[in-house]
Amino acid sequence: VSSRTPPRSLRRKLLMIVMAATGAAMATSMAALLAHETWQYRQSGLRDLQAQAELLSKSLAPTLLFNDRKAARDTLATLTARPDILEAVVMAADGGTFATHRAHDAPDSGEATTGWLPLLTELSLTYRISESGETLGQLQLTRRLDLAQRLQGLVAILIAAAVPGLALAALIFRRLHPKVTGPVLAVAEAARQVKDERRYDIRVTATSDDEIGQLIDAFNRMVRDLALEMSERRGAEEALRLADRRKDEFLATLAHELRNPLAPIATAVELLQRAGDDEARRTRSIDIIRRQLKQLVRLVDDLLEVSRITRGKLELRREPVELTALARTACEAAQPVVEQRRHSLDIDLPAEGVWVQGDAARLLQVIVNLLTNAAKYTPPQGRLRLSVKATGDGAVDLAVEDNGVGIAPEHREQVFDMFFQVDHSLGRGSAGLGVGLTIASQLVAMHDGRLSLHSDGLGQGSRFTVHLPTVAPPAAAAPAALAAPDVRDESGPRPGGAKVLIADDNTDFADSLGALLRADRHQVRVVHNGLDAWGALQRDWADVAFLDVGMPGLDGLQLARRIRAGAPSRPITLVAVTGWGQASDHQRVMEAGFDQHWVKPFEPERALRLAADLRGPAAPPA
Amino acid sequence: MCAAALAMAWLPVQAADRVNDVAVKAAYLVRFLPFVEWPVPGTGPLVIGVFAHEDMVRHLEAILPGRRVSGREVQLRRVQASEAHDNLNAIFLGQPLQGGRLADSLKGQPVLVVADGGLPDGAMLGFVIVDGRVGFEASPAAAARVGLKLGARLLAIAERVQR
Repeated sequence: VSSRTPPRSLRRKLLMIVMAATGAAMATSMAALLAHETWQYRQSGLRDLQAQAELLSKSLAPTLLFNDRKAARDTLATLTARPDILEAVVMAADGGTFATHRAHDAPDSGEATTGWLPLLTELSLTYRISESGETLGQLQLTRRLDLAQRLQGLVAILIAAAVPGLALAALIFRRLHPKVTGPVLAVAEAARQVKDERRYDIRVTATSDDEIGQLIDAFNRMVRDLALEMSERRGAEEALRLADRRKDEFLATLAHELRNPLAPIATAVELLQRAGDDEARRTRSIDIIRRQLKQLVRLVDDLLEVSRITRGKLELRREPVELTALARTACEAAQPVVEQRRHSLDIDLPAEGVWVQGDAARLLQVIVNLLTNAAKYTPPQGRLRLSVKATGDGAVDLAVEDNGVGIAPEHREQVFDMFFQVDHSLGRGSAGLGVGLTIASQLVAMHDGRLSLHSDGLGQGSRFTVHLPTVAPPAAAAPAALAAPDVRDESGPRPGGAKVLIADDNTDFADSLGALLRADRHQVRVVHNGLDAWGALQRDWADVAFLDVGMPGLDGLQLARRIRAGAPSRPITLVAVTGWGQASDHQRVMEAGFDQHWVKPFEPERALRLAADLRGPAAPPA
Repeated sequence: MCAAALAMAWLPVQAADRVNDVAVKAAYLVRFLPFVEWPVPGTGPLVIGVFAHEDMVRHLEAILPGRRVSGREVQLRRVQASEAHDNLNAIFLGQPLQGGRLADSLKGQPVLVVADGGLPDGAMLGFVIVDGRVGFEASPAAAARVGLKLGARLLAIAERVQR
């Protein structure tokens, strides 16, 4: 630890500053004191010389008056008692030297020191000698200034005071510096901990609101923000990992789900092969295959849906939709699974219609999904409830409740996440891929609505609520034709069955569809390319033609155009069968003259229904 | 000039007064006055009498006009031995007084008597030539007898003080 402790150079620097400042202050005051002392000394020396000169001049005046040099010399000789007076010169009025006196140790005046040094070592005074107002001459006195000696003691005193002074400054610094360095060192230590130990819970306590306080505040905020960002990043990474894991799980589930129906199908095929004349066994095998195919189709549909939604490729065809009718249809659709698990389903719908602007098929999908989920996640003989209730603020709540397994609080947010499944212990068969609620939630959101979940916890049941804005009923309040959205309901049934042409280069698909329709006693012809289809139609017209769009030779689009161009008035229902369900495909298909656009795989029932509806007297006799 | 002064310095003392000496003495005579205290300080002009020394008169006449001592004008009086003078403040005797009215009128009076060539009886200050330079001797006792006081600073530079 000691090697990590930063050198306390801050304290050393501050100490240097304090000592330098103190020393400078001391030196300055010392210099001032010495200068003052020097000045004082010079002044007192001057006063002394002045007094001396005044005294001497009294005696010297007569000597000048009476030209008595000897007496003048004698007078000056009294200065012998003043060894500090180096030189005394009496000048007569005419400027001549009248008398002089020199201390025995005085330097030769002729070699007077030059420069400023005399200012410090000597003091000179010229005094006018007069008597009765008559100037007789002047007296020049030069005395020694023993400044060095005088100041020596003083300097010694000052130095003696400076040492304890600096020591005192250092002591005060020692006592007070923690106030300044303490917080800074605390910040430094905290910063080190953040840096080295990655601790983001560190906070430094600010003890003042000065700059250091601000520094500490800023530091604390910085660390807090950093911690926040780190945790956000960790959260994001965690979410990413989770999503990744879910995707892996999803892939495993997907593979499993796709594989699941294949085994029974294989078994059923085996069974069929050996069935011989055993009608019951055949029927059972076919049922198995049909059921498993349905499951496969549903899986692939779900996948395509997810893909479409996540890529933002799903387009809603929004129109006024009556929600209670939709709810009823959904209940009918969900009826099989509800009955299968022997649930009771209460339906609570308002007497008058509730209209929303939406894509009927998608909304139906949402409600069915919610009902199916409720049925699946509720133990047998549970109670389900579907209710539609206007909320009064121009919106409607459609709620699907159950008394099933419920959802733990910690999973409430996640149930709408893609590939999330609350309980993996539920059989794969019933669990699906975990995308249903995601799709539902996103579809509702696309309808400017909100899908929300309420659950009191595990085992407490759940309530999913679809919250949608309502619209005014359309003028001609005809419910959207949901029960059979794709049906052209213009001709009644015909006794002879419909004439059906199937053109698809996928022979399995074409043959199986053909067999299905033949089983329903329709006249079916199967071809495997466009030209054959065209030829077949030339030979014998059809009531309905299922045309694969991507056929060799003459593709479905060209074939449709040719049919429409060749016989614009002859009735024929053209159904495009494609593997692509994109909006642009749909448009191309409809422009080519098709009546309907079915995306593979579609339910065989649909084809049967269409063919059945085309049976009727309008068709030409076979 | 310097050589001349030196040469003169070697001349016998008693030789006749040189012109320069008289001038110096005249100046000294005036300069004595501030150092003398008269018993009754007057306010009028200080009167200097000169007896038997025309040179001195001449020199004094040259320097006195406009000259004031302690704020007082200084007047010159040429005096004769036969005349009595009672308003003199000082007198220069070119020759010793041998009686007469002048001597009588001076007797006991506070008059500064300055002699030439030492201190004859009754003289308070007397010029002497010492080392070729004009100096003076003083007799504060003689002065004190008539109530005059010779300043200490004057006595300090006297060549000789007669006790």
